[in-house]
Amino acid sequence: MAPSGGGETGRPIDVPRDRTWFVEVYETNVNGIYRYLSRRLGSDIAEDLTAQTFMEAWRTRERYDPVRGSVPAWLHGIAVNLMRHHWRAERRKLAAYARATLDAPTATDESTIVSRIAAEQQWPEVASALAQLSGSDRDILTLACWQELSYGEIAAALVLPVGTVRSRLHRARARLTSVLAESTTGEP
Amino acid sequence: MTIDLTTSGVAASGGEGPLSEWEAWAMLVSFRADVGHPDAATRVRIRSRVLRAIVEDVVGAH
Repeated sequence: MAPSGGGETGRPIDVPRDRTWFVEVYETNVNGIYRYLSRRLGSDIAEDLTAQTFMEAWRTRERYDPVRGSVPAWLHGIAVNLMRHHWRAERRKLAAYARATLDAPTATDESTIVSRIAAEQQWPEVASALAQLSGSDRDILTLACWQELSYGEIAAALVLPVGTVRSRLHRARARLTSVLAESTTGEP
Repeated sequence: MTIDLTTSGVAASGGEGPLSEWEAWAMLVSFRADVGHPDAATRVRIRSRVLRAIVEDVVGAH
């Protein structure tokens, strides 16, 4: 899977971590980080945490090692660390999603509306299933699924061995499937 | 980690029987897929906070 997750600066190792470098890092990755945080925690907290992510990135820029992982992996690692203080809020928000009737789609294209309605009908089950996973399993699943980070990038972001990421993602996917199956069929 | 999200992948997963791992993954992909990039006002607020932190850091270093 090609690395993505919001961008890549492609800078060589010896480039100074000055404001010019950081502006490029910021501009290339801010939308991806915001979108990830917003998807997990909602737009209010996402705004705050996106700013905090880049403020922390600026403070720790000299410690960023391109050999260990890409810029998006480094930034997602910071974001995930900041998000750990909000795991409980995330769980509450997911529980609320599981109960809520969601807003009607705003798309105008008919096929898009149909596909969105189909997707949104599944949201309560997905939210309920995500709420039942551990925070660390949500981290790994969502970095892989939503941000399309590779095993190596997730490993760099979470400071884990690649093999551990592989096995934990496998376990988390199996757990998600199991919980979703229970919620959609009512049977374990 | 690659999971086939194409139409043929959907067909291969079938529509009957227990939920497949592919279907669970596809449901997760679709969850809150409508979340987009920050709007202009949000971008300005985020950028202002980050810039302020950088300026304070740079000024403080001198």
